[in-house]
Amino acid sequence: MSRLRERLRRQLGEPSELGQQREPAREAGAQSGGGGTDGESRDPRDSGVPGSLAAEPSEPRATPQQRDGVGDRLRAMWSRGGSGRQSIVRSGRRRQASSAADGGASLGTPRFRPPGPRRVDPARPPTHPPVLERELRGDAGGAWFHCTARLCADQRHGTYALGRALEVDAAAAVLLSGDPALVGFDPRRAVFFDLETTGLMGGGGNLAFIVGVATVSDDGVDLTQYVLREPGDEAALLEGLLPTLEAATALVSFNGKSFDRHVLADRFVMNRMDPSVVLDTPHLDLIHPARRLYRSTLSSCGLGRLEEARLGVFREHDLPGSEAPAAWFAWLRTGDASAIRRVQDHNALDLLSLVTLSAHLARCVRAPGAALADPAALAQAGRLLLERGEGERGEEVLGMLARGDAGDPVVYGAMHHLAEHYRREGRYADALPLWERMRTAAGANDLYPWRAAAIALEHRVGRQGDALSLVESALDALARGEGFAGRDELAALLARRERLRRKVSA
Amino acid sequence: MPEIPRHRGIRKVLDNLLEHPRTGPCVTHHVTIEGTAARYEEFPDWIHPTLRGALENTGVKQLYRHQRLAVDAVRRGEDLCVVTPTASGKTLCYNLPVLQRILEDPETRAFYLFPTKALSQDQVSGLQAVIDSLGLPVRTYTYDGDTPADARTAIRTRGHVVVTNPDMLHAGILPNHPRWRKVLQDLQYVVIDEMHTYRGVFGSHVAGVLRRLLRLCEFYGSRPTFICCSATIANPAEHAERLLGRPVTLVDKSENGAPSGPKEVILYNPPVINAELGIRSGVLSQARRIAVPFVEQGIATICFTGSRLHTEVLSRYLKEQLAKKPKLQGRIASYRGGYLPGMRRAVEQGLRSGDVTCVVSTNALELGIDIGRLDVAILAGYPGSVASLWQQAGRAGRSATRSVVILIARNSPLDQFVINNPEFLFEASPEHARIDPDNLMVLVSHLKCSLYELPFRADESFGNENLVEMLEFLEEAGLAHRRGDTWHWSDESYPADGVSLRSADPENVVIIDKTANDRVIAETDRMSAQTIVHEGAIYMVESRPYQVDRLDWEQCKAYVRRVKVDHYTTAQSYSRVRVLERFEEEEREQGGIKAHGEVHVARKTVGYKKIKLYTAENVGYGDVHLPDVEMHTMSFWLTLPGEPLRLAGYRGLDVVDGLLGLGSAMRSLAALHLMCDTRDLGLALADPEDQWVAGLGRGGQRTVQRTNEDAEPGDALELERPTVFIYDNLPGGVGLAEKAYALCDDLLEQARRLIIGCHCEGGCPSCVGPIGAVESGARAVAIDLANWLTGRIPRPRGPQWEPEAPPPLHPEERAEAQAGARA
Repeated sequence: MSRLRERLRRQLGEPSELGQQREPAREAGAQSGGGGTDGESRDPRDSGVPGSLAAEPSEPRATPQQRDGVGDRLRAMWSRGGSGRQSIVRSGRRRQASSAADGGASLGTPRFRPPGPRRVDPARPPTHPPVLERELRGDAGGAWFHCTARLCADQRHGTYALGRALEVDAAAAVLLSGDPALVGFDPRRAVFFDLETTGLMGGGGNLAFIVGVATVSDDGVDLTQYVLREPGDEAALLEGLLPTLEAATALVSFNGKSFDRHVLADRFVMNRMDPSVVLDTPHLDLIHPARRLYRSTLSSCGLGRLEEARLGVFREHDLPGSEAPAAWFAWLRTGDASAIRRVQDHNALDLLSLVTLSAHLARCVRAPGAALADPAALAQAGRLLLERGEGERGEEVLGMLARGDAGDPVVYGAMHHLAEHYRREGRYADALPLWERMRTAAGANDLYPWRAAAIALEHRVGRQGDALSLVESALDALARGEGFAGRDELAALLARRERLRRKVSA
Repeated sequence: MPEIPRHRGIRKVLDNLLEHPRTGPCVTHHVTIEGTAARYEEFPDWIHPTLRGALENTGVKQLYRHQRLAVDAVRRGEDLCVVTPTASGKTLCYNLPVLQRILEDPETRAFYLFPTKALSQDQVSGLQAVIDSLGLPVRTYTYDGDTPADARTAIRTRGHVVVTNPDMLHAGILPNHPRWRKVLQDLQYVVIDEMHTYRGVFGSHVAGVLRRLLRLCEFYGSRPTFICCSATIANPAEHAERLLGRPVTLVDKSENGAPSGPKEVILYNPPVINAELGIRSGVLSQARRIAVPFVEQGIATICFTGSRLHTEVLSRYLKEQLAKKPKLQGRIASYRGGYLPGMRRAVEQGLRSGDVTCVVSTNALELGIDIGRLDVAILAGYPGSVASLWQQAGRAGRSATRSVVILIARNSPLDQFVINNPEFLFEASPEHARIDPDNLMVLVSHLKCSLYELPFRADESFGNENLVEMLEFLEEAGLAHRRGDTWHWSDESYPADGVSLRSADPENVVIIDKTANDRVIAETDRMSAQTIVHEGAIYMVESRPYQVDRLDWEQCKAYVRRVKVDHYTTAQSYSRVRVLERFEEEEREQGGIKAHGEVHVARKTVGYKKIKLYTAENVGYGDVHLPDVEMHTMSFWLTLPGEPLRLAGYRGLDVVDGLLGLGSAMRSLAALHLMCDTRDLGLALADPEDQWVAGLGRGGQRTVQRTNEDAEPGDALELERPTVFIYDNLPGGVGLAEKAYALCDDLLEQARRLIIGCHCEGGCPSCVGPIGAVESGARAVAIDLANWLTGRIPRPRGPQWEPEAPPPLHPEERAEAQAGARA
């Protein structure tokens, strides 16, 4: 018999044990009453589930046409083993690779990586999660753990002080997102948020068991986690969350525009609440500008990589996000809160990194030269500025880069984009010298500067003779084998030469 | 729709067929079914003037009787099941009320469900064309796995009619219902077309999906009306009611108001070409001979074949034979699943416009794709069910002219039975569609999905089992969390992913032409890939042969190149079963041991035959080396003691054939009792101790082999424990086998009666089995075994014994027995 089967059989054979494990939590809650404040030492589940909150199951009514004994039949099918048993409880995809190995059955306590030995690398000082105060909020209809921390504006999270998020003004938000809806962005009225969910797929059964939100003021950062105790408390939790969302003039997230926002909206719909408070609020999703700036510089643009590479945040004993659902389910089923606390730490760090990432990215677009050491990222910032209509500052950034060695691909790329920008603006006097330097650097290996300059000279500047000699030199270089042109390109060059010759001779 | 030009030549060609000395004697039956006049009704007075005007502009000035009855019932808010013969204007039965409602209230939403992705894409292009030609402001979208992500939001919020399939509804739409809230809130109609295809386990699953849909509708406060369309089946209303879980209004085919011209039905049995072996001429060469004169006259002809391969071969025959006729250039087409959508659209359009004179098709054109009506339908082989036969026959028949249907019999017991018992086609009631939505595994699968979608309260119901007990079970299994009288899903998985509505692997294999810049020329599902694009196979697309050089099983790609060959290939495969675990076992008083448990099933493709074009000679054989297609499932099995069989004088292969024959009858009856489709049950012969295996050897002949590789194969092998397996033909199983185990004695007795009562000679698909699977002596052995296993005789009588001629049956009894066997 496989270990899985043994485990399943054990689990199923002893349903009473599961029940017993749940009971003490309720009793303990009934005695201790109000919320604990010592977040690190106390299990939130033990610390405050008033007995009145644990509603007694009412006697369920069976509708008359329903046949009885189905539970026993199902148990018989299951206890018999084989793949039939699996089909009953087997479910679809889950995040953990490990669960695929045991056939996808859902039972059993997940194993968490124990905290490793402490070893501090001076170049990577660990960033500690904030200490959260926990309080049970709600009433008999439903309650949630309201976990809060207030951090001073000058407290550092990695290399940035948290208060610097106040520098993210409307101009920066619009620049970063390209979204005109953020024109009224005010960092003091924005809500930074990040969810921990029980599934990856979205939909009705995917719960947000932690809704982490942070707001920034002159006093510092207020961080709040709404922690779901069990599925039935969700409506209460969302009601509790609603005022914060209603007060927000913008949401800030990392990848929230395509994932978290929809999950949260779905939760509102599931509880018959209006999801527009999530869907219609202007949304600044930092993953897009971060990717834009760093896609050619960083190996990945995940939050973890950005933290280490740009924010100076190094996590210690971080619980991987993929293990978060199992941690919550362990808490739900057995009351074991050790892992859920690590999920809370993970979520709190994510939120604080979101706050400082916004400050970092705002700085990157406001003062790219100072914020970005890497030329490739700088070039991306310059292009972003140009695209967002910040011509002058974009020119400045790209212009600075373009002064470098044209043999460097980044510099060459910057020259290309700057020249194109000038061309679009009709500033040929600025573009022509760039094209010339590009031609000198690349020869006929890149026909763009030849072609672009020839077109400009022929049609815009009216210097047909110069255009002709350009085209002729390009063809000469190609003839000498100094470069390569596709058939169409070559044909276009030849045609241009013919036309220019006619024009010049005329 | 432009009319295809009419031809007066039909009579001439037909007379020639009937009177020619070569073909005339082959016509075994010839009847004319009188046409019916159209029965019209006025448009209902509530019809929106815009819609009425638009319909009148496209030539619809009044409704057929069944259309009027249907739209009136829908208007009254009744759930409807309308039985529609081919080309009787069924789409109007649902489009009219739906479009009407959208015109009255633009917020109206509707789901249209079609059984397959291909069919829904076919339909949406047709539907949108109708809507555009009507000039109505209605948006129709297909939503399936191919829908691009950026289009999905628009579909969810703006689409009036969302065309999709049950699989997508199950795994894509329902679990994500909050994003579909607009559609679900305003859902007024659910159209279920081709309802008869939702039968067996697949149909049971679809019923589960619809239960979930209805739960969500209740949550969002909508109460949609269901409109089901079905081909002729014996129990349309009952089937619809089981599928929907609520009563329906039936508009039967007796209300059909669409006109039809007289139809001549001819049964044609090809001539015997080898009298000693009783072999008749092949169905494809006969179909070619019969079709050519019609096509030469420019008469619109459709040929149905039994497989994709035969479609390619026959269309190639016709193209080659008619290549010299310049006016027929490009007017002969082939059509089947696996063609790219653009190719299919072109053929459909060609048929409607009359540019295509002749099409050769698989049963893909049997379902409701609009191709207009043709003059002649040639069925190269009995399509396997009476319902299919009349669907295919319905493709021929215009209201004003005489149409012709010719059924050509194959060299198979079933076809020969049908051709010799024509009353079977004209009198027997068509098949029943059976489903069992309360099959516990199916029910629990959808309960899990539904729980994921929405918490359950104790006072709800889901199927006819006690909901609270089921939820408590899920709670014990760790999938549900209870609070008071409400259960919530509490697992990180996405249950719809773990529930497949059908056994087919959704993965597709694309077929790539290496000789044309790696162009994709077709695709096929993974299950079929092993038998049609194995290395060495000749694969045909639009009658052009390609040879498969490589099948990349992992990457799901087959690489082919254009070749010139005069042969095609057919693969040889069989299933091998191995017992993994016995759940229950019992020694039977009358002999043998019955058991059920978990088994491993491996489908092996061992090789292929090369068949020469035109002569159909076997010109070679090739080996195929491919991984087995494997699954774990649940099986019932019946083991016979070897000793009495040996003493009676049976050799190994006799027993194999007889037991397979008996098993086949038991399988048909099990399907009947378990309300599933015969396809849902697999049948195999094996040794429960895995000492030997019955399969196909090199060259495709039946063998019984020791699993020990050194042993000699041979039919003299004595079998210690011959065992027949009837297994759930889908991974994991749904518990059919366990029920078959409980029914074992009944199944044996009924199988005995079925086989004895069958009026075939050596055995036919109505009794002992599907085409080619068993030898012709199987019937006698099967009866001997059945007599023994039901306790009528103490030991088998042996191969010398001949069963008596069956007692004459009352015709009704006989039809009943046959209908039962086929259901």
